[in-house]
Amino acid sequence: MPLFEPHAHMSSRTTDDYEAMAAVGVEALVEPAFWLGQPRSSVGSFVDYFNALVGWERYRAALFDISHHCAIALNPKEANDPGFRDEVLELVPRYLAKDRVVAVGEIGYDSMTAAEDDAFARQLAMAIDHGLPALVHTPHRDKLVGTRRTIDVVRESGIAPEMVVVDHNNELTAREVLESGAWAAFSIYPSTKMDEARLVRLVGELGPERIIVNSAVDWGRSDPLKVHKTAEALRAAGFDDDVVTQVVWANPVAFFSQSGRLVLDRGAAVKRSGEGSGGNSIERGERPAD
Amino acid sequence: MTSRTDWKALAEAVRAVARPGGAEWLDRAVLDIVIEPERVRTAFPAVTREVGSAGLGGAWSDWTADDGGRAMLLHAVGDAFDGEIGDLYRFGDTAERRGVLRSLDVLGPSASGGALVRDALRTNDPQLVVAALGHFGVSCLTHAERDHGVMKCVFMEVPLVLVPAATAAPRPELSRMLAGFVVERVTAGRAVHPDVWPLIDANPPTGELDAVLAMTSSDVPERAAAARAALALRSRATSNAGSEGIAGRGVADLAPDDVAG
Repeated sequence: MPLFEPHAHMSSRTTDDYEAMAAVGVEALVEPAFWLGQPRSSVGSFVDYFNALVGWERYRAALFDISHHCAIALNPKEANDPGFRDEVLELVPRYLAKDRVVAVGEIGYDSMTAAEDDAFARQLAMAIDHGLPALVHTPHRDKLVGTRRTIDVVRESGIAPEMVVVDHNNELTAREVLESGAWAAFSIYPSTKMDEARLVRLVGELGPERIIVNSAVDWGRSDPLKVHKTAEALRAAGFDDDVVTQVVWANPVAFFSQSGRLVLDRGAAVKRSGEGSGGNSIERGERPAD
Repeated sequence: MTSRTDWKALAEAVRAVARPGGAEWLDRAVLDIVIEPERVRTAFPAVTREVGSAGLGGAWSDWTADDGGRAMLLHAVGDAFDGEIGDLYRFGDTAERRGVLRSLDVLGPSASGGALVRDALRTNDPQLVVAALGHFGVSCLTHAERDHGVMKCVFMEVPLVLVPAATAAPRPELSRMLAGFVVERVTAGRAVHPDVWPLIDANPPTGELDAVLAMTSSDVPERAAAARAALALRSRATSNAGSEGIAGRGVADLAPDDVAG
């Protein structure tokens, strides 16, 4: 069964993770732009990061027959930094115009400040301008209130609700998100947020429509095989293959296809182009000996 | 032959191979940019997706449709193009950067282009290195920089027929470096691409060539075999310079399929 990983910060992961994901069936993924685990100090750090998301990571993924896409945005946490926020927001539209950029994201709330309100609204407007879906992060603290405020801001922005996925849901938030018309994503972590067993129960209660599962792997404790493990858990709980496939493949494909830029070719076009990752290759200046 | 700066002919060449709707998209983008030059900043990244990347014909046979489309967008920017290309390159992916470098060959004089050419030559990306070694790029470089660009192509196995501006009138220093490369490869028992021989034989460096010859009777079997193979290719390449085996190969043939693991 092919798997789609709709939220993975692969720039924090090793090539072994790409290999392991490919081995369990991951054929395509989306890497949303987020923070680095420590604060950035200038707009230049975003430029290099965005360039890696549209270049280097695409190339690394293609080496393992995985089709890489990304979402670009100023993340909610760093929307609070007055040192570079305006410069980054000026930069974002250049990257939203690029191939395989399939969403604006991650946007949304971290601490629910006025600066976050402003960046969130401006980037939802960019999503409308560029005809792209939006990938919305919900806060870890005060999650239910933050999710409700998210739903309100999405509604006020005028973006079609089906163009929005609200991420990191739990039992308390998912129903309201689905009722708003948006898609509901669940990050399956080793210990926090949500696990496979709870997700299985939720699919039983809510059905598979507009439900998306991701591993949200980053630099912290996280597991790049969680989409696969969730598919196994759903199957073990008695869901038939159609339902499992819908959750781990068809739903994220349908959502990101709204961008018109999803390329489900397992990295073939990237390899065929001879592209060396936008400026470098792992060949270190010389092709390997035959 | 059509001049590469014949903009009408370039537009026709792009139109002939563009994706469905691509020619109309390009016409609209050019008009938008003439009215508001800053719009090149979001049109430029979209060219590959909208116009496609089929090979162009005529005077641009080493270009693809997106290269041609991007040159047209920069032409539409007018005199201000030199102020835009720095950021288009800096924020560009491989195809966009290649488009900037290709365009420099057909746009007017550029004060900022030389720095971009040098940046591209620092990468290990065959597409960028080849595009940087066009006529404009070579005109910006010192002889030493140009020679190192050629050496980089040889290391990356880029066919040298793709960089004619950089290999025209090779200096003795380039011939010596290439011959040294042959000595190094043969010593390691590895194969050498025949592309190097016409450039070596333009100014044959006796010391290095004698060393290769001596290795044909080396006690190390793979070294002797590599020396014999290299010299066999030398006589064939020199009598048949720039033809079969070299011509017809493109950068796209250099897909890094074999680098995993």
